[in-house]
Amino acid sequence: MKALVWCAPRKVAVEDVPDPAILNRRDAIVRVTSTAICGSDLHLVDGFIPFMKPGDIIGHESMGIVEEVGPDVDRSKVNVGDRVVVPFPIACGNCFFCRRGLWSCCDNTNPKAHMGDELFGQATAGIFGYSHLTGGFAGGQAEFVRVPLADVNCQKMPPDFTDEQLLFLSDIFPTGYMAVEHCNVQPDDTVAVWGCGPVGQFVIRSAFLLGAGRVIAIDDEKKVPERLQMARDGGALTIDMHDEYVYDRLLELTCGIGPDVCIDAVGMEAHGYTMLGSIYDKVKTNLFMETERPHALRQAITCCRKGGTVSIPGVYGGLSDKIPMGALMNKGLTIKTGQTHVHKYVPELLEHIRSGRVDPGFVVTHRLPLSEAPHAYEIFRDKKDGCIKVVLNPAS
Amino acid sequence: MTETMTQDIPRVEWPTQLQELSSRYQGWRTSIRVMGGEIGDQRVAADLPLQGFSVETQGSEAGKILIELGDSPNNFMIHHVDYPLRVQVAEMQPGSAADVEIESEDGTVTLVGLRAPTALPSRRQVAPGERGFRRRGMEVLREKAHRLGRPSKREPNVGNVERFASVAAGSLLAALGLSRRSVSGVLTAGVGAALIYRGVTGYCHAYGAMDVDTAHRKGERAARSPEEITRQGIHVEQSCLINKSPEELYEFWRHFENLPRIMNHLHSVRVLDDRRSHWVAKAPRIAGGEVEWDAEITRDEPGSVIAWRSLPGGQINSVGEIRFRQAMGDRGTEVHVSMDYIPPAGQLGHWMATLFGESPQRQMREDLRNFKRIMEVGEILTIEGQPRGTCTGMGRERRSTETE
Repeated sequence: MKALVWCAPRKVAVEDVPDPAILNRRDAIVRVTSTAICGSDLHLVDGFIPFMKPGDIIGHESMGIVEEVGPDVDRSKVNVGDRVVVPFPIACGNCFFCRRGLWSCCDNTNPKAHMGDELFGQATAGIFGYSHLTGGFAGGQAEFVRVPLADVNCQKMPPDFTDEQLLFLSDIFPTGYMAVEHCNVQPDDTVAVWGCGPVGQFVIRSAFLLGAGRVIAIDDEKKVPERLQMARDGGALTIDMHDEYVYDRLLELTCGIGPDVCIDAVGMEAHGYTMLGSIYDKVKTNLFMETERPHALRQAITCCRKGGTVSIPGVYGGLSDKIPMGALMNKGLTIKTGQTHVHKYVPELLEHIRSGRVDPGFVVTHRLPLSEAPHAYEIFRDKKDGCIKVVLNPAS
Repeated sequence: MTETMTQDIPRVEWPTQLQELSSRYQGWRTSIRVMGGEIGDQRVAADLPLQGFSVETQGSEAGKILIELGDSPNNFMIHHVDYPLRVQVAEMQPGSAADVEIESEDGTVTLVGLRAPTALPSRRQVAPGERGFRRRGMEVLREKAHRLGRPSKREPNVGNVERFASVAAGSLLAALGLSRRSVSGVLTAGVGAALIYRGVTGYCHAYGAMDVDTAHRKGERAARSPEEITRQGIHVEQSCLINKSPEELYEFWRHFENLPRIMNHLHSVRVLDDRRSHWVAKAPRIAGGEVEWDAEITRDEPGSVIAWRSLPGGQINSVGEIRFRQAMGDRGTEVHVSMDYIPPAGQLGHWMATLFGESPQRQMREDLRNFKRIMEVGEILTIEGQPRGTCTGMGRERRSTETE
């Protein structure tokens, strides 16, 4: 089959590789009909996530048709021919964490848990195509993908929607939704979101779904005007971080108290302009003294109103420097974060799609065949050609 | 063979029985573990000489059981057991090991392990009535001085296979270290040089300090006594939480032939009879690649405890136990494993294995993790055999399936 392979930082290629096989008795093989490139895939491609090995197949936002199931799969839950969305974390459904709805913290699905133990204290769940730290599972940017514990990890979908309406249930829609749901948003709350990429867009939609009074979105109008336009289309006010002092604008808009909820939908590769911090981070990451550039997170903490909540759906993988702990502590902020517990949100979000309150397909700007994936990575990474979200079709 | 004797001591007899126990086991190496507390299991003390047990009879502390440990002012502690409900004494190997289990009203269990004192000539039994560290302080110092001044002519204490391996490994490390022109390189080379010295002279300072001797054995493959194993061997302890009942977990484990499914280093286990079984495991190549031994069950309480030890004649000397305990709330079962063993190829084998990432602690953690996976999921997920790319044209050609 054809698959997208990671070879080195900034080097990905489409290769012919062997078809996946059933390796565990509860596996299924899914023929991928649509798969998307996620912003967090860029962290892999840019070399910000350690523990990648040349030859790894990446991709964790996929859906398709079940082709084959292993002998121990519960066929009342999933069977050959079913149309399914595959959540990016792999969960068992039966451990301490899964039973508490913390699916991405599953204890039983990471074959390389000892690595996670060493880096994070306790290993988290396996994730498709996301380095050996999360199990080294082959990803879904391929013609076929093997899904372990298929009766838990294949989410059955109704036939009456397009792939683009359902695909993002695998990651970015629940990710944006969870980031807001964590903050117990009230009708008179102002939600500020850093980053108008795909997750930021779903944060905006989810904030309104969950009853926020107002949403303010922050990004760079010079570099990505199309993203700020999409944010405005979603009902958000926007701040151009290139021309405006974000802190001053946010305080002005909130009569001096700051936003009630601040969401960092950027993560470890933030670009900053106004603070010395951004230069500091650039130097340190280039010298491998720091693994990430937490610029957006610092600003979110500084801007958040006293007693407010800072929610972090953006991905971080290692160590960050100069987190303003003084502001965090003295202002009594709450931090909410985590890899998304996708399984928990799928039924609820499918209901929102069914009711027409949201149509997730709005975020797609590029549709390309899998064979053009390296090009897709390039335009997505460099934000060329108005690229916001790419969907790859392995069949075309 | 000796039988385990477990005795429940009625409350009225606590003061007298505990006093009797104290005089019998004074000076024994004592570990205290408190299980089932709010912060999980705690190891309170390890390997301190016992001064004695007592029951507080007066004041606000009345009713508490006190356990005094230590032999010097810097090395002394009193552990209080509040609201004791039940005291049990189990003498597993009369003369060499005993356990005291104290249950409290708050649901915690204090487990006091008593192991025979080491046979060092320096260790002196303390006469009853002489209890208390203050009077012993000077004696301890004198003992230390005596040990430091041991004869300078050193008898080899490293076995031949190990001496050869020492020289080989030492040369390798020295070469490796010298080729790296850095601080770590110098250190590596230093370790290498020490290993060569050890191999050539047959004397290991570390072994000397630890009282380990792999050169002199009382007969090849001599069986070690359990206290010898706990004194000289590697101690490994791990625990985990599994969402199954203690009975289900006990059932799986009690069928030892299941264990190779969860322990990567085990080839097979054959059950010989009710208590005995034959074990075959992978071993470092330095020890011949494979080791075999027979084991027998020394304690077997369905749904709660299995303890075992190796039998004379095998290549492994070990004692171990696994305990199952209902966790709080709906958290399932707490599983605790503890083991002491003398690895094949001696201490050096252990260090080399640790150096290359196969530490026994990590091994046991993986084994327990696999146990949990089998019990909670029914299988252990693997990526072995999944497709991968070759990155042809981007460096070396690679295999197209996962092999680790």
